[in-house]
Amino acid sequence: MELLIQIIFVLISTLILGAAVMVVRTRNVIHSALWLIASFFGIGALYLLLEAEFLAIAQVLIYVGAISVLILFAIMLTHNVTSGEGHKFYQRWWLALLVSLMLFAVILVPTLVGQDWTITARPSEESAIAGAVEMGTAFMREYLLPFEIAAVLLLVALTGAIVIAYEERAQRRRILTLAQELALRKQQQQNHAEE
Amino acid sequence: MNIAFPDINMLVILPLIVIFGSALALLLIDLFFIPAGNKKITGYLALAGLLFTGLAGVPLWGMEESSFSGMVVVDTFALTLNVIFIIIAAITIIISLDYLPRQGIEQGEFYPLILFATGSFVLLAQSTNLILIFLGIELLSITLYVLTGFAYPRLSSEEAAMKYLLLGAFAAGFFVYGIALIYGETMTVDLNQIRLYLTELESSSTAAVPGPTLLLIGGALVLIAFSFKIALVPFHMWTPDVYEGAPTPVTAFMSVGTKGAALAALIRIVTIALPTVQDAWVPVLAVLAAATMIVGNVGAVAQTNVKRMLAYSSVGHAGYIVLGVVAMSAHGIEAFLFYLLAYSLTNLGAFAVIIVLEQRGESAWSLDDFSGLGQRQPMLAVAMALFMLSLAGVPPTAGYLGKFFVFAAAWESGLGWLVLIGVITSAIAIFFYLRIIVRMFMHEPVRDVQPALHRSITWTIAVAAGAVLLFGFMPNLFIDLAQRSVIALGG
Repeated sequence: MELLIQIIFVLISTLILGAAVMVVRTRNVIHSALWLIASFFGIGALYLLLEAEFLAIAQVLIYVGAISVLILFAIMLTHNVTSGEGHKFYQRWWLALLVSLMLFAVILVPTLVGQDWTITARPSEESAIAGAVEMGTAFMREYLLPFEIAAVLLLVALTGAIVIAYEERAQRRRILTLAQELALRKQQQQNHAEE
Repeated sequence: MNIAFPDINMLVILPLIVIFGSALALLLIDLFFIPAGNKKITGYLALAGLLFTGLAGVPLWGMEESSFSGMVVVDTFALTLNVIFIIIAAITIIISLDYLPRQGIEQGEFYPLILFATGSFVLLAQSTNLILIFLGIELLSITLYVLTGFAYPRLSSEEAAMKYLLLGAFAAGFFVYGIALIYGETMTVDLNQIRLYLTELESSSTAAVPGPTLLLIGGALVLIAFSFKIALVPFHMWTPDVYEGAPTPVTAFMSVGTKGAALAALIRIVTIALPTVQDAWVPVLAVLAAATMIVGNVGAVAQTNVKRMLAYSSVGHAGYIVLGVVAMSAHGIEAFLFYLLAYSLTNLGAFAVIIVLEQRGESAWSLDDFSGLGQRQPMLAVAMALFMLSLAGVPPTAGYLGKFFVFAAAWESGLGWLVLIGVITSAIAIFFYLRIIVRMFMHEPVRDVQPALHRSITWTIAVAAGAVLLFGFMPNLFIDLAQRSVIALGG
C-alpha cells in the first residue's frame, strides 16, 4: 500500500513538473495555457492523494474551471500573441542559467554546508484541517485575521486593475512638454497661414 | 449548535482597522462626492485618515499584547514604526498633491492606494506569523505595482511596473516555498512556536538527532524574498529601472517605506523565531549587507541621472540599515529605528526637491538641471545640499548619526570587517553626493528649469530639512523612544 502511494505520488509529480516545464517551453501561448491546465489538474490529484477532497474539488473548480478560462480569454483578446513567433530573448540562456545558479548558491551553500541531510518524517497532527467543515471553522476562528487581510488584498488588486486597465483617456491625456507644445502651435500657425 | 466567538482583542489591531477603514471610506467618497478636477480634496482627506491612525496608536502606548491566536502583537517597537510610516505616507501625499495634476496623471484612487500600502506597513510591523507576513508583503507589492504604473502615458512607467510585477511574482514564489519548507520542519507558521521548536531541538541535540536542515533552506528562501523587497545585492537589479520609471512621489515612498516595513518583518522573524540558529544566517546576511553597500555606492558613481543615482544610493543605504539587523543586539535595533527615521526624512526631502524641478511631461533628472541652482533658487539649493550631506553622512546631520549608530552597533557585535566596508563605501559615496552640491553652487546654469514651488511642497522641504538638522543636533528626542521599543521587543 505504502509503495503504491509512493508510485502514484511520483507519477503525479512527474505530470505536474512536466506540464509546468512545457508551459514555458512551447512557443504557442495557447498551448502554454493548456499545459497549465494539465499542471493544475495534477495538483488537484495531489490533494486527493492527501485525502483533502474538498481542496481537490476547489482546486479543479477554481483553477481549472475559472482561472484557466480567464487566461485563455485574456490571450485571445490580446493582439498578436496567439501566433507562435515571438522575440527570442534566450540566445545566451546558458550564461543566464550559470549566473542564476551561482547567485542561488551564494544564498544556499552557507546554510547547507555541514548540515545533516537525513530528514526524519514528523508525526502528523491529529486534527486535520483539510475538510470543508474544518477549513470553515479555521477561517472563522484561528485564521480570522489572514482571512480578512486576504479580503483587503483582493479589493486592492481589483481597484488596481481598474486604475491601470480602465483608462479614461479624457482624464489621462498625454501631457506635452513645453517644446512639443511650442512646435505644435507653430505648426498650427503655419497651417493657418497656408489656408 | 453552539457558535463560539473566537477570543480576540480588537484593540491590538486598532491602527490597522483605522487605516484600512479610512482607505475604504476614501475609495467610496472619492468615487461619489469628489469632482473630477479637484482630487486634491481626496489627498487632504487621506491626510486626515493618517492623522486618525496616528491618534489610534496613542491609547495603545505601553501596551504589550498579542491576539488573533498570537498572529499580531502590539508593542512599542510596532508603534514607533507606525509613527515613522505615518510620517512617510503623509510626506508622500503632500508632495503628490501638485505633482499629479502637473503630470496629467491625477486620479482619486492614488491616495487610497497609498493608505492601503501604509496599512500593509503597519501590518508587517505588527505580525508574528509567517502567513500574515506573507499577506502583508503581497498587499504591499500589489499596491506598489499599481502605483508604479500610475504615470500611464509615460512608457517608462509601464515598463517599470511590468518589470517590478514579474520579478515580484518570483519573489512571492520563493517566500511561499520557504514557508512551506519551514512548516515541513516545524509544523507551525507561528514565530514563537518556531522558536520553541528550535530550543527544544537544541536541548535534545545529540549526534542522532539531525539539525533543522529543512528550516534553514526555508529560511534562506524567505531571506531571498526579503532581499528582493529591500533591494539587497544581488537581488537589486530591478531597483534603478523601477525607481526611474515610477512617478517620483511613488519612488520616494518605495525607497523608504518598503525597506522599513520589510526590514521590520525580517527583524521580527530573526529575533523571535531564529535566534538559536544565528550561526547559520548572520554570516549570510552580513555578506549580503557588504555586497549591497559596495555595489550600491559604486554603482551610483557612474550615474548622471539624479533619480537613478538616488536609486543606487538607496540600494547602498539598505546595506547600512541591514547592519542594524545583523548586529542582533538592542543597540542594533535602536540604530535601525533611528537610521530609518533619518534616512526617510532625508530621502523624502531629496525627492521633493526633484519633484519641484520636474516640469510637466518632462523630466529634469540630469545633473545639468542642477547646475547653477544655487544662483536661481538659493534656498532650494541649500535644502538639497543639506539632504545630500545627510545622505553622505556628514555631521551635524541626522544621516551622520544614523550611520554612526549602525556602525557602533555592528562593531559591538564583533563585525569589524563589515564596519570597515561601511566606512570605505561611505567615503566613496561622498563623491557623488558632493558632485550635486558642486554643480549647484559652482557651475553656471546649463538650461532654464522653472521650479514649481507650491506652498505645500515648500513647507514639506523646509520641515524635512529642519528635522534632518534637529535630529542631527538632538538625537535624544528619538533615541529614548527607540530604546523603549527595544525593551519591548526583548532585543
